[in-house]
Amino acid sequence: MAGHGNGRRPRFLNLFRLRFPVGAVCSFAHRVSGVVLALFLPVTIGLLRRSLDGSSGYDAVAGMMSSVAGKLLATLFLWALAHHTLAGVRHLLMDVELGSSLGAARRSAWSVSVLGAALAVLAFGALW
Amino acid sequence: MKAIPGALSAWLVQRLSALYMLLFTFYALGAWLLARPTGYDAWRAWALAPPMRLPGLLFSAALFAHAWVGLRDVLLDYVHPVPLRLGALGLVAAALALTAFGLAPLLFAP
Repeated sequence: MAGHGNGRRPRFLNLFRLRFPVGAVCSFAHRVSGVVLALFLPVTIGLLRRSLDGSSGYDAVAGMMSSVAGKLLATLFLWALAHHTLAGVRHLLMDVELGSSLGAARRSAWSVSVLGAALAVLAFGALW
Repeated sequence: MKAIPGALSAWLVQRLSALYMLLFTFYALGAWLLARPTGYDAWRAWALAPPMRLPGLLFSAALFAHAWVGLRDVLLDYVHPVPLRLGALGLVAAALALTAFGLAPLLFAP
């Protein structure tokens, strides 16, 4: 670390003094949202199956989706989906050298993270 | 630096599956907005018709491949002791396989 030029390594890392650039936050959120989506996988498949399994199942799923817990979970799911998709597209564009300069990467990391959160807020509003 | 065996194919699987899922999402969203199926009968007819079911089947395959590569990468990054790592990978693989089996009834639904 700068300022510790005596060859000794820092003994501990103070997490509150570490700086997380926006790219790191966006990238880590991509990972977290991916795990969230994976955890939702059995739930979404279960809901899909139930909704296609007779009209009583369909009504049960519709009921769950209109409960408070259902709406909150759906909002979390939609945030994860929006952020993961947008950050994934950002990665794909960077693979073909689009927007991979530092300035552009920072701007797109901001845009992706804010847009993902905005879509989640919008979905929350639409569900309510 | 030594290449991990299969690293390139995992990288490719992740990107190809991502592209297909992105296309399918637009397709399914557009089709849903056009049809707006309301009620059980309309929903079932819409979701299980061949134009939805066949691309949807490919979507499921892409989704499970994508989830496996992604979760595998996360575990390889954070779980280092070999027995623990193998156990965790096996557990995730089994959970994904079980979840995928849950889709079987939809595959054969009339």
